[in-house]
Amino acid sequence: MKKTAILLSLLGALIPCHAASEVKAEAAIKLPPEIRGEEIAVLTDPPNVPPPIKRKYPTKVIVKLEVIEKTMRMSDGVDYNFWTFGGCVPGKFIRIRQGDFVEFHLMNHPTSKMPHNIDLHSVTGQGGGAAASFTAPGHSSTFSFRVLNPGLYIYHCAVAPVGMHVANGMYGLIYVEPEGGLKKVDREYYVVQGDFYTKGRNGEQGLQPFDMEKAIDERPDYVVFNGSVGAITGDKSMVANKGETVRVFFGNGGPNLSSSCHVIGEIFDKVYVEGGTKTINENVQTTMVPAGGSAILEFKCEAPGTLILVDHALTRAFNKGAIGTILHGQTGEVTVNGNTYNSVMPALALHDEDVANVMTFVLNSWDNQGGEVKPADVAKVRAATVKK
Amino acid sequence: MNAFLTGLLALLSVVPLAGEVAMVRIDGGPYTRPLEKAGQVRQVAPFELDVRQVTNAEFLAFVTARPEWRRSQVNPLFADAGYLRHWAGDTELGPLAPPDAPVTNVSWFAARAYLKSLGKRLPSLDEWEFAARADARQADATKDPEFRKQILAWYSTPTPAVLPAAATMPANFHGVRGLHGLVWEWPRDFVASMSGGESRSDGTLLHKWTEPGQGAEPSVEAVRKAVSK
Repeated sequence: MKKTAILLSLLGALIPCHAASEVKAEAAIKLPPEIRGEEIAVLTDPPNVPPPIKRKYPTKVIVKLEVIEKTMRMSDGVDYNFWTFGGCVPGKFIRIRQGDFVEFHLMNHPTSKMPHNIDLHSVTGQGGGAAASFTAPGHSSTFSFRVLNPGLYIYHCAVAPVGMHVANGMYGLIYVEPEGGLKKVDREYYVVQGDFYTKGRNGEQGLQPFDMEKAIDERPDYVVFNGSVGAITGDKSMVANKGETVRVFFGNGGPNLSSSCHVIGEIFDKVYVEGGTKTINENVQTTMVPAGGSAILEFKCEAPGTLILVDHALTRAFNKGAIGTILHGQTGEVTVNGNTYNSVMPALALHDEDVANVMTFVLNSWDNQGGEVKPADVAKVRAATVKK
Repeated sequence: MNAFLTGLLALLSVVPLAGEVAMVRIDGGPYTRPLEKAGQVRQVAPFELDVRQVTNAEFLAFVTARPEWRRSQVNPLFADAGYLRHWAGDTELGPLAPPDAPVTNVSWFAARAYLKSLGKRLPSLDEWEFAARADARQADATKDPEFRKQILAWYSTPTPAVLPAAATMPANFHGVRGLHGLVWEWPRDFVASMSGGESRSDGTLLHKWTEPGQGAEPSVEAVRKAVSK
């Protein structure tokens, strides 16, 4: 009989092949002459987008992204152990320019349980980078690529089981600006839809583990924007002023559901269909965004009020969380009790309860008659305002 | 990556001297690797396995006796910058490394050297998998969906800053503790089943997950294996 013992080793243990690949990746690469200079990519958490690129030439861009597995809020009272690119779901937004040479550093935090990699849909060959970026906890890998095609692309983890990694939040957007860029707008936002599969049903409290069976059966408990229920509502709403133009970089991480992307009370003036550059549709009510796909949405906020972003497969919006809001304020003349005021009311992001409390206070102060406004009343008014 | 597997358990809650960890005999038998085609049966010969993982205290005794395996002195070919990173010092455990918790951040080379000093060896991948197929009640629980859920649930929980004592993990059918849900362990031949970086194109996952008789449901082993890739 053989005697065996086990030694353990967990996160961050040395894997010789990784050390080797890291060394190899650092070998000097001769860049084409048109690549000028070098810069560190600005990465942003959702719903923010890095500033447009002003460069008129391609450069070498260094992207550093760290995978972090962390417990975050899924819904009120519901936590989930997300796997993230950069600590947020979706992962950090990456913005580069067509022709850029990207040196990509993927790090995997030492506390991770899993190895991870990255498949960028903007990369041709080598599994979109997956084959070069398999990274054990506590390690990093480096690979580089030339950005050949402009457009808005999903990136995601592709380590097996891929569906589980993606279902845990491992996706984000990389936007490759075409030469010349896009027309300037007043506001840009970053939203990605995702479906989540938890052991407990929607709303069941506590830390909810991933449910592989539900994922295989495509029965999500949560369908959300930006990683959690309410990630872009209330005081975290996207804001725009009346008359401003808005561009939403919209992605769908999946892993399974397509999105019927729609904004209540708004019509998309332009949709860059499927995130591409050639087909720009106009006057669109709802655009279909496939899992692992994207779209660029542009519209002007003609009317004041709250715009509500939904997956128009409506039980997802109203029962599973796929809802987000864009608040706008008002600028210009308004008549109150016969007096005309001309000022600026910034977009306020207050919860229904906050608004109700203020209203109740006002009703019971000074010489007012008293009364009470409840959060439900505010919600009604909000809904009615949106319909206008 | 299957490079990280788990370890053995011990019945002792006090720290034994190195080499005193209890072992159990595992009889072996026919076994199919999780990601191989159905019908490819391997024979696992009888072997003995520690009943729990090697602890920080045990590994401390090793590096105390063998300075060349201390963090500051180890040959960088054999361990990288993460080696024993949770220890307070070369021969000091500190708050993140309780004496009776499994030692982690150990390289394959260091693990091998430690066991050699005790006259033991790392298990083969097949031996580890064979022992790890058991839940508390049966030697092969791979067809039990609950077993799969338990294993996957571990991946849905955050990694604690401080690991629990190795001896406190529940024992499986063989009496081995913590094969799932605690740490990853090194088998002797971890490279044997390591996938390339691009697991989607090696062709093994797809057919494994839809083996005849298992429908579209992956077997427990397939999931665990895939998870560990």
